[in-house]
Amino acid sequence: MNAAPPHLLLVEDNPMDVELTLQAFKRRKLTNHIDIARDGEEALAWIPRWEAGEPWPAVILLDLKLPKVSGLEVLRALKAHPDLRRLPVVVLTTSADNQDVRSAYALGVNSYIVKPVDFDKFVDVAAHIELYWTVLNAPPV
Amino acid sequence: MSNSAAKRPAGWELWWGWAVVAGVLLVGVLLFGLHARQTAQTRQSLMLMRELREARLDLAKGYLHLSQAGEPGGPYTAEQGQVLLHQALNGFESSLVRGEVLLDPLAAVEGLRTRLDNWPRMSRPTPADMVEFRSAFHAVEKAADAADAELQAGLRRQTARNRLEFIIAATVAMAVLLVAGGLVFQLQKNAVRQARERRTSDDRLRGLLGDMMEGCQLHDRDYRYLYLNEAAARNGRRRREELLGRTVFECYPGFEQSALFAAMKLCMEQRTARRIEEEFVFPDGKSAWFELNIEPAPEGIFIHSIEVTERHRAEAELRESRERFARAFRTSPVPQALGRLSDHALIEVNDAFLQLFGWPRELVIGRTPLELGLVAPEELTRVREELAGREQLENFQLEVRSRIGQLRTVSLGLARIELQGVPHAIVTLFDITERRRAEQAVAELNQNLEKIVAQRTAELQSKNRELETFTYSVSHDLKAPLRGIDGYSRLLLEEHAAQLDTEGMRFLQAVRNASVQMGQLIDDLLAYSQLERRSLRPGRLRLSAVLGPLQAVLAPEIAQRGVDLRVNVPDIEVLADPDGLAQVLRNLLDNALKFTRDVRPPVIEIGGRGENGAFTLWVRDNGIGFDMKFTDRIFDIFQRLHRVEEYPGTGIGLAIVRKAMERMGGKVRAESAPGRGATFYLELPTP
Repeated sequence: MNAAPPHLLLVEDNPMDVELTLQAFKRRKLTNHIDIARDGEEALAWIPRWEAGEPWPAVILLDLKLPKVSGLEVLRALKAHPDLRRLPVVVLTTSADNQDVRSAYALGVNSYIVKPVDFDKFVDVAAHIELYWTVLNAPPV
Repeated sequence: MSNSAAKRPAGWELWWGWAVVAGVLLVGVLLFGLHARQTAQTRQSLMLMRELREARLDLAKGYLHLSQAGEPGGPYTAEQGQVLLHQALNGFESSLVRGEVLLDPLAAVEGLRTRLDNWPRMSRPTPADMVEFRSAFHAVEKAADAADAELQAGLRRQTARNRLEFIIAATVAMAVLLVAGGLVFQLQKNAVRQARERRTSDDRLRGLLGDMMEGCQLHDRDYRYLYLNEAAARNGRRRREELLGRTVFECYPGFEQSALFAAMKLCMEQRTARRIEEEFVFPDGKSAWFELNIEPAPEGIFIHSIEVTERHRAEAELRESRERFARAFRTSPVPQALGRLSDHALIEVNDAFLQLFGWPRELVIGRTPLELGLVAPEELTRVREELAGREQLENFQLEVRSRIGQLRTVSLGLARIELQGVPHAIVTLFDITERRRAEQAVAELNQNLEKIVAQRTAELQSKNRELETFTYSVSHDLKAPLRGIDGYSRLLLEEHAAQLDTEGMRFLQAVRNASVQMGQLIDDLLAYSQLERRSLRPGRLRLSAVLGPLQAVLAPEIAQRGVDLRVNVPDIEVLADPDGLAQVLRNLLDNALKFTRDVRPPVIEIGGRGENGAFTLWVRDNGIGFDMKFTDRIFDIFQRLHRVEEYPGTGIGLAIVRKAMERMGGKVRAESAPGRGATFYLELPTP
């Protein structure tokens, strides 16, 4: 285990959402480093780097509606990977559509969270994520 | 023994009787004749003898005359004596000739005649003459004696012969008569016995005939009723006494014109039995049918009669009925045929059948459908296989061919029937060619239609997917900027409050309120559109499984507001979709909470009652209520009864309730009055 606090990967195309997410985590005084992937392709680009030995994020926060490659495709690629499928993925999306929820869980997502419109609630969500995935959860490696 | 055989001896016997009588008479006549002949012969012989003796007397008298002639005082003259003697001699001679005397006294007669002729006339005979004459005379006398003796002897002989003949003839006749008489007697005895026997059996027969159901009558040769039994009288529509002894012509005027009489006459004349079945018209115009056996009888004719009017009527009715059915069969508009099952030969077909196939009747009858090419061999095999072990076929479709090769589709009905023990089939055909054609057209149309429907459905589905994608985009893309508005305004409010004056703060708050309102609107719209897309599957659902979580979710707000929530619902099962029912109840409770905002204390009651296979669940509040004139409008989408600033809302909540209830097969209605609270009733089906 690395001595540095575990970082997170946020896959999100909407800059407003990226900033608000970062703000929400900042509110929780989260010190973990957050990497940003602005679309599905960028997210997938991380895979060779992790395979090459770069440290894995504690959790990947994945939006579903992404340009180029959709969030579900990214999820499928990760969960089909022999090693990386152990990496926790939390879908963080606006869509509460049942079809999306079912598909995500069928692909092996670890959690599915609908982004609340209310910023206060969003801050709560960020807190939960931080607490659960970076503190309480025992990482896979 | 038959009648005619019994009668023959009687005829013979009669004949024999007459023959015997004739024989007796003949014998009598013969004997009488014989006797007469014998008597005549005897009388003739006696007469000859008397003539001869009288001739001798005359001779003697003449001789005396002659010999004494010339003597004075004598009464005779010589001439007289001569004449007398001549006469006597002639008589004597003729007697001899007649007497066929065998001796020859004629010579003596001639001698005497010569002497007599030579007798000297008118003079005295000489003594020599006298002597000569005397001796001649004596010769004649001797001859006469001899002739007499001969005659006598002949008479004696004749008498003796006659007696013998008569005795023999009489004996023979007697013998013959005895034999014949005995024979006749015997025959007569037999005849008498037979007659007696016949009389006895006749009596018995008559008794029997009298009791018979069939009529028996005996007519003499003048067609007079000699005998008839009761049945015959009944047949004749008369009493026996009216008929007996009278002729048929007297009893039935116009009888001689009837066919019955013609038959009787033929039998009477030709003496042959006949059997006829005839209708007889009585003088009163009524008629009846009789079966008659007419036989010759010794007395005339014998008629045995049975009335068959009823049978005739039945037969006529049967005939008519047959004709009716035959005509019905023939003229039925439905093609029908009767065929033998053993060789499939067509026995009878009707006009419609011929019309269907275009064959003339004379070519069809007796031939098979295969020979006529009405049906292909494989089609016939199909029928046979279908019929195997069954009594009938119904609506069996097959293809048939007319004479000119036109193919038709028919629906075949077939029933087995036995005619005189031979298995047959009655076949009915319905020409369904047109119907089939129409059906095919409909099927094609249907297929096309299905194709069109499938195409449209696919289009619709694709449109639906587009809509879903659109909805998804709406939810995602509209909410993302909203979240930005909310998030940034929040950040502004918390971290840059120092730079804002009071008015700026108020504006910012308005922006935040608007964004919340918009978020709510988007959520409700999504929920409503999801209800449209989603299929709600009503299943067995325990009410507590829905109410429990709902109460838990709402608990904080209820506690905070101090709402008196009374739940009084029997924990039973209803038929509902869990998500759908949860959404409905959630919206109703949200409503109840919202509109009891200004009531103290707010009371919300959840109740339920099952009846008639349905369950009614209600949510009652003591809030502001509404006017019942709006009761329909409140369930329409975007319909609101209050301004947003009074009671915030999207106008979608109750529309969702109604839509969800409809999708689950239930109903919703509301009862309320302004200021008196509102009750929403949900009717749900139960398992």
